[in-house]
Amino acid sequence: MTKEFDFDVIVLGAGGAGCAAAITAARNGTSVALVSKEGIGMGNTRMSGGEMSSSGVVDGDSAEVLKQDMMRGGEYLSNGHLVDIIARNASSAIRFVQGLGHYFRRDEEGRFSGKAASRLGGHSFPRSFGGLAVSIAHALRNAVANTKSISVFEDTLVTTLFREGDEIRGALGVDLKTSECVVLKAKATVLATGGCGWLYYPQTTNNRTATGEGYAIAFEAGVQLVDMEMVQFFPFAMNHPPHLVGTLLDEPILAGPKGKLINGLGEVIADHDINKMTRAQVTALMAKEISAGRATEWGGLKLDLSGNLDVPEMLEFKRVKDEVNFFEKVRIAYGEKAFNWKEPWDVSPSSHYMMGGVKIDPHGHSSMKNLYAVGEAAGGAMGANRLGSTSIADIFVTGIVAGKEMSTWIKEREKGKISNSLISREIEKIEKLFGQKGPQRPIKLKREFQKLMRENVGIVRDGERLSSALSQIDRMEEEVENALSVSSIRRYNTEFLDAVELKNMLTCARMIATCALERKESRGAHLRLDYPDKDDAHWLKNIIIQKKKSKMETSFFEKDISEI
Amino acid sequence: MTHGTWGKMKGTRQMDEYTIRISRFNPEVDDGPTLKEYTVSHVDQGSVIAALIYVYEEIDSTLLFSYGCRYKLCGKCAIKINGQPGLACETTLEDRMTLEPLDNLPVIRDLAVDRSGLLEPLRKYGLVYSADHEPEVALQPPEFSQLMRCNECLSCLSNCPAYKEEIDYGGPFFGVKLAELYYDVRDGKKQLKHLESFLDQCIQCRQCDVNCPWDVNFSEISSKIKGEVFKHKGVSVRDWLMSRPHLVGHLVSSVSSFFNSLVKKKSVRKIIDVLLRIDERAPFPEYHPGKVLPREGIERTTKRKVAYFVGCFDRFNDPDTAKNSLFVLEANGVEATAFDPGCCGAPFIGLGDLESARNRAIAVSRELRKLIHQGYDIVASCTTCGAVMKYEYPFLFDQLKEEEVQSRIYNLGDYLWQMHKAGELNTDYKKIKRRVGYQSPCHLKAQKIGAPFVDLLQLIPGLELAATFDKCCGMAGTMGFKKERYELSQRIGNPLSDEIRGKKLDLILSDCASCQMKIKNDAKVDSVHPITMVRQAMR
Repeated sequence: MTKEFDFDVIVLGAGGAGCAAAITAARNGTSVALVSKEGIGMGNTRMSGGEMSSSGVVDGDSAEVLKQDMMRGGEYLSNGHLVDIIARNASSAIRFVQGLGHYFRRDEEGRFSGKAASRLGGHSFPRSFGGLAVSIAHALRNAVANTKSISVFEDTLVTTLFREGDEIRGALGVDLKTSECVVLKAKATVLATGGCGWLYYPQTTNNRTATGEGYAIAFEAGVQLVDMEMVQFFPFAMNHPPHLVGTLLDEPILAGPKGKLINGLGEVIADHDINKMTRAQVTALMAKEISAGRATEWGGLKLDLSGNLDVPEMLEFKRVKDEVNFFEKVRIAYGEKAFNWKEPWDVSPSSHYMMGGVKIDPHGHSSMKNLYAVGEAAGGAMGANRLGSTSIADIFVTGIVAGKEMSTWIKEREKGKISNSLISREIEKIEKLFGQKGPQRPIKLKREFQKLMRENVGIVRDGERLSSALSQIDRMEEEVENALSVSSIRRYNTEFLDAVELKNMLTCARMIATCALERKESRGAHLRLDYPDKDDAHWLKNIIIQKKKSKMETSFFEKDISEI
Repeated sequence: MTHGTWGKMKGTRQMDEYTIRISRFNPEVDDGPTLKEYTVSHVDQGSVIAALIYVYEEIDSTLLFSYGCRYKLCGKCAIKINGQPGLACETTLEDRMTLEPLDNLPVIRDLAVDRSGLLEPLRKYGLVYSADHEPEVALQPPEFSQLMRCNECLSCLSNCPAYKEEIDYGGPFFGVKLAELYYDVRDGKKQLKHLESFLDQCIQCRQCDVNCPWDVNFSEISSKIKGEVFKHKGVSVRDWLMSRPHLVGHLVSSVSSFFNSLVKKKSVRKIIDVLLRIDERAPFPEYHPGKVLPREGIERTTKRKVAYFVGCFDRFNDPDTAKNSLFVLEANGVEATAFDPGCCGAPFIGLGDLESARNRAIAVSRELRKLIHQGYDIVASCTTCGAVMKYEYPFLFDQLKEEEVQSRIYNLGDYLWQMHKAGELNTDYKKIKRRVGYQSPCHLKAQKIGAPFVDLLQLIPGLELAATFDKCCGMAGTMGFKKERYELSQRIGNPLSDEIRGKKLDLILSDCASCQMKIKNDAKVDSVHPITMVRQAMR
């Protein structure tokens, strides 16, 4: 049985960005549906390091300096207008998060000062305020639960955006607990679906829900996406034992001023100031060694932190982290000595963040009428590399901005109709999956696909492997269409979920591989072995990708040099 | 150019086969859950979540379980592992493990529970941060950071006997949310009213701490808050008396036989019921005169010296347990002395009178330290006294914090079992032909030492341990006496009584005097401390 609902605004995704958009829109008098594949606040916001950028707390720092850092860190591919908005509103977004009840770490006197902030890789000043990310999630849920005009749809997977003519008029969801369809009609729809780290499982720091739904359904609806080749691999993640592979350790800041990176042959490849490098720079350095076959037995490099044992600020860093048991898994997996920095850690880069995403204007509006994108689902602000702690700023700033913008926007708009034939066509596609017979179990194909991504569309890329990946993606898409077997269970059917996610993941993968093949240079997170150098003369431009007449097409967006 | 080694997952060398049992249940088609066996190829250092993923990928992808982050952040993979709630991501896989969904939450299917109900109590109580502005200076108290560690895995709800009966109260999960706001210096103390009604439902069984993966230890924090609530409330005559078992014991024990016969009269109980609001249907302890003394002229064969902590109940209501404990220790060559410094303070903590409890803690700790200094180990048979000295003293009153002191405080069963392992326990027991049951009290489970008497009882030839029970009896210290809480106490305790009656046993052994009383009164089965059996078996 299908249920239909009418709202002013529907927000798809309930991490920091989605909740911020929903709360802001609701506070401004609109009726909001907050739709989430999981529970509220159960995604990547909860799993982050919890650090959020501010600007202007320390003398000499300002929104302008933060903007410059982000532009430089993004290797000048970022959209300056978006960066500007994030930089100017970062500090007020901190107040918004505090206002929901989250507590950012303060200094010994209880003040919000530079002493309590960290200086993460690529930042000119200590300006990142930490805390427990789980507590951000708590605060978000408390606030959502107590905001009257937000209706919550948990455990609901969105499969399609309803497009009529040139505008989006709502979305179709499936309540996973019953497998009933939910038609959500709205004047405005927000994609806050996060990223797609799970494309690289287990080589990812992400939650298992990060499967790129937002990118895929936006693409299918003909929306423009940008910078899809830019996938951030976080430099320091666990690489064994198997069940912890890919899980997050920390930023370049972890290496401190005296940390060393050592390859599998025992050669030191970097011995100081790794903490001043950006994530992309450290990952590139590591990738070079690893792809040249000089990895450790676990496929990574050794990170030797022992040099920092006489660096007071690093001991303080360790104390703060240990207070919240941040590195407990190191103690369990690598042992007590490693935990205390007396033995090196075996580390590998792990897929962490999608710089690319739905192309938006400074208000969060996409290229398609009535459709917004916020947080990681949106692209453009982070360019070719994201600096640490900027994403928590980004999710809240873009969420708040879009929330405000929508509440004005919808007042001037009539709700458009969604034709019954469109609705029943989409529901039919879902229904057809239940009980579908085929030779292939979805999870098997999913794992095969993830292996392909790690090997061919991962950190280090070349034309040959990317082309081969694209042809394998063709084959897998065909299998998804014709060969999957899905049980007919209606009560939370994960085979159904796998099948839908896999379809979306393949769409994301096709976009990533296509754009990666297109960009014939190396920049930021995008490393081409066949084009190892940065090429400002030809590639200071963004790749836009869009579905036109059921074909994937790319175009370019030249940078306005004056912005840089 | 090589392709690198991304995701090759080296190190999956040794493959062993493990058999695990997983609860399968689809409420739409099945009558109830069934355990199904699966053989998994165990990857070196594998966790339970790795095994579930293996089953899902290799054997059966209709198996439903939840997970998100793969290491301790999302809380979604909490399930019952061999009966105990825990995170599948941080539990190492072992052969023959049984995996079931958490208790007290609706099961979606198999191991997955529905967590969407979490939003309800937050809404119902308007639980939202409401500071008007962010103060310039704000340092949070340690309780705040402790509470903030909660990753909402809901293991505490699975363990909570009160939540099982009283879903509306929200359970420890909701208590944590309330307490977070209460301790947040920016939000003031606005939640005290909600906390008061919350704490009325909490039975202080401490089960919420037992399986908490982040050691939030909510029961300790709730004791503190109870203390704050107490400051604003008066105390009734009944509660004043009930929190002073040592004083009452002294007064009554001199006229014990008269008193005992008096309270056996229904009419007297009726009057007490009306005047003091002690429910006439509740059990009532018998009082005994006299003091517990160790015997003279015992031969010492070990270096062990034990100061046996005589709890109030031991002293005034059940001297046999103390006598038996001392007898067993002495008969095994231990130098044993009765240590009777007065009440441990547990009833004060239960009431929220933390000032009085603190005085008790300081007095008891002073004596206890002296004895430890003289080489004594402290041994308590009462599981509540033991838990209070081990957990409440350090946390609430800054007493006995040092590891070298803490490590010398033992539960009686645990102490005897350690003697047995060291070969110092004479287990040449007489044959006892009897079928008995064993009930694990909440405050024993809270000490995370298992149920040592279950192992000890197995050493007695002929004794058949026909059933073990681990449900809460509902007595919860003094709660079961109280007229206004009697009904909840019964609802919590009835499942245990029913289970015991169903087993048709004539004796239930339990370390806790409250459990014994409640079992005798409700299940109508005799109940004594398990040391009684050990004593009887000795030649």
